[in-house]
Amino acid sequence: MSVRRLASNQPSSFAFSADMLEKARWWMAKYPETRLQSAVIPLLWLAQEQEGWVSEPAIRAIAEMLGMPVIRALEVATFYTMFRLHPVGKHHLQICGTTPCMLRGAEELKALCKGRIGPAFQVTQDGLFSWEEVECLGACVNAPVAAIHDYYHEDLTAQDLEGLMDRLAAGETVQPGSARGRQRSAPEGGTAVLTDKSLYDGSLAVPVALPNRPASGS
Amino acid sequence: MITLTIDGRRVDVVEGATLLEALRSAGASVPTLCDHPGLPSRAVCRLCLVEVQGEPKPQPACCTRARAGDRVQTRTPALQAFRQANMDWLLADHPNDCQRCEVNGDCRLQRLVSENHWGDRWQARPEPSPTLPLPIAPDHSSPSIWRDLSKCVECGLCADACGEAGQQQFVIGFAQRGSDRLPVTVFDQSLSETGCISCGQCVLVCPVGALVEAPHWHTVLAALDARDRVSVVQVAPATRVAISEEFGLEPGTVSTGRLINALRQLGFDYVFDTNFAADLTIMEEGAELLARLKAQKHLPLFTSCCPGWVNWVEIHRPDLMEHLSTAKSPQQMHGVLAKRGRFARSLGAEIAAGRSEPYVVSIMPCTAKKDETLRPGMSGDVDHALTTRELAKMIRARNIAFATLPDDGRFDSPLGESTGAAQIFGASGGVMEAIARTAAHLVDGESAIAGNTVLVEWRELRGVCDGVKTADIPGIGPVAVCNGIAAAQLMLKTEAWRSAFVAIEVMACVGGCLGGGGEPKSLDPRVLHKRSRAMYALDESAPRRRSYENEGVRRLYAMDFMEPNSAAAREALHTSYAARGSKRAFLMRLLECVDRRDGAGAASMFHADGVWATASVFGELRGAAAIEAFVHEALPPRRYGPGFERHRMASAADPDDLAVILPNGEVCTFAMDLGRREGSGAPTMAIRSLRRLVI
Repeated sequence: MSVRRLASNQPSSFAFSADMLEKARWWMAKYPETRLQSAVIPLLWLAQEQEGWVSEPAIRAIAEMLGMPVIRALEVATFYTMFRLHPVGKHHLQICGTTPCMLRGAEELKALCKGRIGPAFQVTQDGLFSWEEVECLGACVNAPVAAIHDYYHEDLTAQDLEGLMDRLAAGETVQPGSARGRQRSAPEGGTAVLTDKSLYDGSLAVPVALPNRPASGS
Repeated sequence: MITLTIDGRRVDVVEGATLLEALRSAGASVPTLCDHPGLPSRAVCRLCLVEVQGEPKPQPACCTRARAGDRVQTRTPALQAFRQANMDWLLADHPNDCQRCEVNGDCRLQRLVSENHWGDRWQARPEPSPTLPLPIAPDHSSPSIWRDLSKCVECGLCADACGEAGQQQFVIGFAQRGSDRLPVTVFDQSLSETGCISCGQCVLVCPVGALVEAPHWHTVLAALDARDRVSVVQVAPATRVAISEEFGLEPGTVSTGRLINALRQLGFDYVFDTNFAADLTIMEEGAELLARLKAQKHLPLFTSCCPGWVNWVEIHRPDLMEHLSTAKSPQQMHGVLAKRGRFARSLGAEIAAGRSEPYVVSIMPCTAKKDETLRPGMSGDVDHALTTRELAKMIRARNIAFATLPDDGRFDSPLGESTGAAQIFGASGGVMEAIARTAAHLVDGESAIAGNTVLVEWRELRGVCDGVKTADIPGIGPVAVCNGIAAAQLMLKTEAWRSAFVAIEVMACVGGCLGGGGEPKSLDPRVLHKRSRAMYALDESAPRRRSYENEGVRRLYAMDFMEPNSAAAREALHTSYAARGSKRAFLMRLLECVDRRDGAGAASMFHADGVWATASVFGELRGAAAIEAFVHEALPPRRYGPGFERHRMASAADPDDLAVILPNGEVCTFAMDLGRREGSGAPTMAIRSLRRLVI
């Protein structure tokens, strides 16, 4: 469970950047004038994209944009753990800790984060890194998984993650996907079951007469 | 109508009724903690679970529709086990310190525990610690409402009462989720920092002691027992029709006489009627309306009797301040008369000389009345405002058998006489109806009294259901009544009200004072109607029903004030407004501290190195210590009661005006600089420099 309290140090103001504002308006245009509050989740998300986290002034500003009570926007922001209520590092690592990832080595990834970055949600001195444990990222086939920015890094070992962090620290871009070069979720080392070719060439098909089949033509 | 079977009994209910309504109408009962008439059912307490034949799982009765032919069981062993398990969870997180709780004896949770013998499932837990994380630490910042979320059962009624389904103030809402879920304020601010208007509707629906009115009844009992001062009490109109409910009498039972007898038994020397001041309010407010109509300025006039509404204007719409009537509310008019007027001077040489003052208490259906007693310009005129519930606690604490008291008590003179017009102040529309009754008199003066043909009863202004009620009063014009702050907010969203009406009454609570946050907690869905009926019955049987017929008020004008809105009346009975957080508000609070010779209070409003240039022989004061010493030592000692002297603002509602009338009648103005002050908590504003400018 992440820390769901608002950060005690809050910026004095918040404003969407020009292109974020344009995106916000696109979301708002989807809803009728009197139901603008429907856009609260996308707008909170845009604020987080821009600042890395959702601050008190951001919640206030969004509530005002959408003509909704501040407390209702606060309720949404504090309800969903995807909204971060504290500042995070430039690169925020979300380590999946749910059962398949845990069985496949997520504990080592977490230990690495703890050692190299510190406790969850603590930002490193240089402002580059922070991390948290998240619930299932839905990529169990490629466990263990870490999400950095909007992308998944899969099949990770502690060394892989360490390497990723080194490259990020050096300002390089990192390639998402499997650390072992696996294509998407394909089986490693080729298929081991259901290998009989006749399964796929139609030769095993038994002709049947469907009772409701059209008489002919089509 | 549909027919179903509940615990083997046939029950007929209207279609669309919930199972809970059905089983209540059948006289059956299930425990409930989170339902309240008028607010949405959320089925969060899970105590009203019942078995419905054909349903695989128990259903929450509060939000399950009754269907024809349903066979419902309410007390099977399985259900009792469910309820017990749910209660285990609730009690595991609830402090077991009822003896120290303000709602001890008036708590829905406590009652369930005792009725169902669940006490042994409640482990002793120490008092909540003040070192708990912020949202759980008790919040006593508001002068009206105390919050202690360690006692919260998360029923959500307060958030609903404050939100869309109720007052639409959105001060309280549910933040976090799962085990962290709590009804918090916006960004965990203390209640006094939020836009809370102190209406107390959250307190009224809280089933436990997580939200209570700031309790003052202990202090009042101790002061009465000490018997070292003359004590005076005034009773609001809505209290006498509701106090009965606290003692098992039918809602709508009028207990004026019983109430007066009980107050005498509690030890009050004088029992007066707030209604006296309500009649006075009508004279002042009516004259003010007439003057505004003549000058065509600051129309429409908003009533100012409701402190929740005044709070709302000062907090959220200070641009409307100039529309507020400058007349004080009845409570404060009565307070100033009882403590500082002719009556007080008659209480002996000590008081007449300003060395002592009577102890003035009010019994109100309201929580916001508590912070009204602290308003700059009137603070101290009433020592304590108690809610109807607090009065009931005092009566119980002294073992007074209220229900069997003779109903023959009479209010004392001179501040106890009243008319039916004053009595209906306690209902939404009442103030406007009282104005309507006096309108002809106000327009035509004395000549109209003999053959007054203007309507007494204005039914279109009555009722507890409609949001906005309107009428056209001959001689005055079109008027409106906003029943509840939500209705007022809706009206103020557009600009139509500016030209549509000449006067608008606003009561922050639906139903008016009889639905106030300080009234007895009731689960009767018809309670507002019942109290309202009692209110109008009192009016109907009153020998006099127009405010100007109040002989006591007439004598008061003859002896002290000459006529409504005279200079003397304006000084005693009118007040001024300031936007919250504005320089004007700071100045008013500061002068209040000075008048009370509260040096520490005055110093606390300045920065540690703040400067106060007095433009007098006292020169320039630098720093908190110097300011405190100045107020304590340099100024002449404070006088009390009739001798108490105040600074007053020169203008009633000009938001930027810092001109002040000194107690000696001189006028001066101030220049002020405010700045942020960083402290242990959130940064607050404080005075950096204050310069007096002699005009």
